[in-house]
Amino acid sequence: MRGQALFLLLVMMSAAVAAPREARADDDEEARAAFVVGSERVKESRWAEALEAYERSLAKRAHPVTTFNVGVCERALGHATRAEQAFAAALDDERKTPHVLPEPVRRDAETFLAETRATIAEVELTISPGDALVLVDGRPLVPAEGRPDVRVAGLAPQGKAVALGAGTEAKIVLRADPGLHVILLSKHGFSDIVHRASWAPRTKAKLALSLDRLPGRIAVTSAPASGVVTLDGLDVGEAPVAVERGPGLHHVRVRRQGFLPYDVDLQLRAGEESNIDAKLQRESPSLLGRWWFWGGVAGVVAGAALVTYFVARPAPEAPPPNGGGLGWVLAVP
Amino acid sequence: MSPRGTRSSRPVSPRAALVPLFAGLAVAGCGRELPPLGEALVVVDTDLPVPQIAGRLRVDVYESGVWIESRELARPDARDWPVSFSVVGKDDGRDHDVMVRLRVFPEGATRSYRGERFQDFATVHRPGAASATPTAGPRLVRDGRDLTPPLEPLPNLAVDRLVALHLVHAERARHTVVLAGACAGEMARLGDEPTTPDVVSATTCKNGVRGPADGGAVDAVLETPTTSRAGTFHAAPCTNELTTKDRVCVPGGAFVLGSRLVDFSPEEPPSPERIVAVSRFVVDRHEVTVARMRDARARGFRGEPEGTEGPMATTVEEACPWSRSAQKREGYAVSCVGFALASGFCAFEGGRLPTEAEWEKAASAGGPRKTRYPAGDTEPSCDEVVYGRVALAGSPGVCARGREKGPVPVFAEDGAPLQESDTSPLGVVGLAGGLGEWTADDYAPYGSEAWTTVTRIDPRVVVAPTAGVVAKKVSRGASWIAPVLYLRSTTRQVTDVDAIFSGLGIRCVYPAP
Repeated sequence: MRGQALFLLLVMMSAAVAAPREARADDDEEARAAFVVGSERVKESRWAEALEAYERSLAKRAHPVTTFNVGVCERALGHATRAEQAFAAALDDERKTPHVLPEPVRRDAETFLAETRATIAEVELTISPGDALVLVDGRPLVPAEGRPDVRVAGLAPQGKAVALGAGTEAKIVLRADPGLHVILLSKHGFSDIVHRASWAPRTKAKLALSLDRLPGRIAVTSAPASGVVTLDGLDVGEAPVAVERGPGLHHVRVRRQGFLPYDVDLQLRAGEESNIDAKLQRESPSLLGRWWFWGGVAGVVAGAALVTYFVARPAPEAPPPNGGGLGWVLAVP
Repeated sequence: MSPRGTRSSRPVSPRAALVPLFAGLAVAGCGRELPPLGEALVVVDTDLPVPQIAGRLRVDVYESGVWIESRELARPDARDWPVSFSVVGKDDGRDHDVMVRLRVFPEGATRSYRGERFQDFATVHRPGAASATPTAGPRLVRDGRDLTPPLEPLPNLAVDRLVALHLVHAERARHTVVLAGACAGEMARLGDEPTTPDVVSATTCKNGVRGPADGGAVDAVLETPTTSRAGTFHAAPCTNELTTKDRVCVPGGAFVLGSRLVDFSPEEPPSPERIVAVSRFVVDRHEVTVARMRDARARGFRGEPEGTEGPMATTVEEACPWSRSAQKREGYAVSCVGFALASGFCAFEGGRLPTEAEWEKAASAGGPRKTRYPAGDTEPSCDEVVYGRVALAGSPGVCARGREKGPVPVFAEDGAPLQESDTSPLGVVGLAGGLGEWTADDYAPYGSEAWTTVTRIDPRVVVAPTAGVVAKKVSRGASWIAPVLYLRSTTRQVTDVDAIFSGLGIRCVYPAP
């Protein structure tokens, strides 16, 4: 088959060289030169270099023969989806402008298109969540013409990942070259999946990929510092403190002696960080800041204390626990 | 003369009026202090590097088989260590037994709480162990509410230590516990019962040896030390003279080998991760070049790479830069060398091939944390790292089209270095791309027995040969041929020991005692 393709290419070269003559002279000349280089590379089976030359030729002067030659090179390189695209494009041009392809080329384009189509792997791909971003071999997928549920790998240039759908799950049919592929799934708040798959020609397979939710992170600071932080009823340490929790509703309380407790409910999303800066308010100073209050207290307490002390001496107390650097004293209940 | 009405002294504060009163009461009460409650001041330190491995501390407390408290603390600065807190008994005149579970682990190294009691080291480091079916396990219930923390440290990345505290009524003691790197990945066993921790049957790893839970080092000094052992586990810092123009010193110490960030790597998963330590060593700053090979041969090295004599080829089959006579490619990294030639070359130069652990440490040490690629977390561009420079069937050469193809020299003809943007934090060049590099390790999956029985310090995997089967080695780093996924510092590649390949070269390491 390679010999046949080569023969066709040599025939086509003359057709292509003839075709661009009516177009802009400089571009035509460059297109023609690139075409010749491509055909020479084909003779040496240097398909990647031939492809580059033909693509250079196409960029200067589009012609279905050159498109066909691109398809032949892509086919030789194992790029079935790109070859399919090129053969289909060449035949589409032929339909729009009959006889633009020499008859032997048209017949081969049809044959190659059918053969190439048959080798392409088709995989029923299920992705959860449905709006995860997908790259195959570093390239986004391209919708197949007229078939929104079918996406084709290998056609788009390297670029940003795109989502295939929405909701909790997306199902598509992925068409890809036979061979090794690396599928990258990502979504904010979820851990990436890098999945390697190798599909033989004509593979019909199913593949389900599901991203794991990442936990969220709650970071709490307090002013003044060292407030004791309680998360969902559990002490998690003194502020500043950061803990990981699953997504959902959480209750945070920050407390410090002499200050009003700070309470907040927060809706934590997967993989996100919620920062809480608890500005603690002093307990109401009201009477405590007034001199006359303390004057009265002094008088009353002095009298009462003296009487009380001698009636009932204060109960002795144990020394306070150490608490260590954390100041955390865990009392056995 | 003072103005009328001016007072010469400040008024006495009303609060001050209470001071003499309470002072008198306090004095009267002196001598009547009760004995203290039974108290254990628990001082927790670690010898692992902070925060790369020891970033968080999880404290769980059990009394009479009941989980009574759980607290997780971020301790990302070496100055945060040691950590200390108190556990006090009830004021009932009796002694109390309390069990404290301490776990130190890296930031983010958690999984959903599973409640399983114990897994041995091999199970913990087996792929899929983290997704086993949850079991009931102990639960933290207070006032009828289930307060069980939803996450727990990954056991393969934690040092897990049980401490048995015997709180003696009216006595106070300090219990010092070191969460040692020698116990990394060794799960504590809470006891025989499925849901009730039991101090009698519990076992835990202490300084590398499993035994019954004890109270650590006990004394009566109720103070928290101000110095920590953080980062001392098998640590050996580099000295200036060990790093030269041609070689880079890699400090000894512990690090996390592997990555859980990808569930599938191109050839072999880099997980489960494990904590290992390597001794200090020196590594070639650049891959071995044609010029260096020629110089070695002039000095008596007998091995010779495969090569070509014409212009430098750009295809996978032909791009072997070695030539019998010097061409204009002396600055290329030499490829098309088998394992035997590579290891022989390093031995000739007074070194050896790096182990997998050494290679990964060279690629990741020196920064505040381990990054995805040697130079950072961002996917390298074609201008930064040499990769993807040829089209392969099914794997497009992402850096080939519109550019020159084939390998790129390490040095220009005038000796200027050319791949400096592919540099690790320590200054090792060309680890991500350029050429893949032979390592000394035989190939074995991270979850295999070969890896679960290998030493924690300076691991090197050796697999017994099988008759009729070509031995396999691990190569690290990507080449000018590889797609981008291979560029990660943790990517492992399986290579036949007799493979000779234009994408595979040599980098040697040398002892640095």
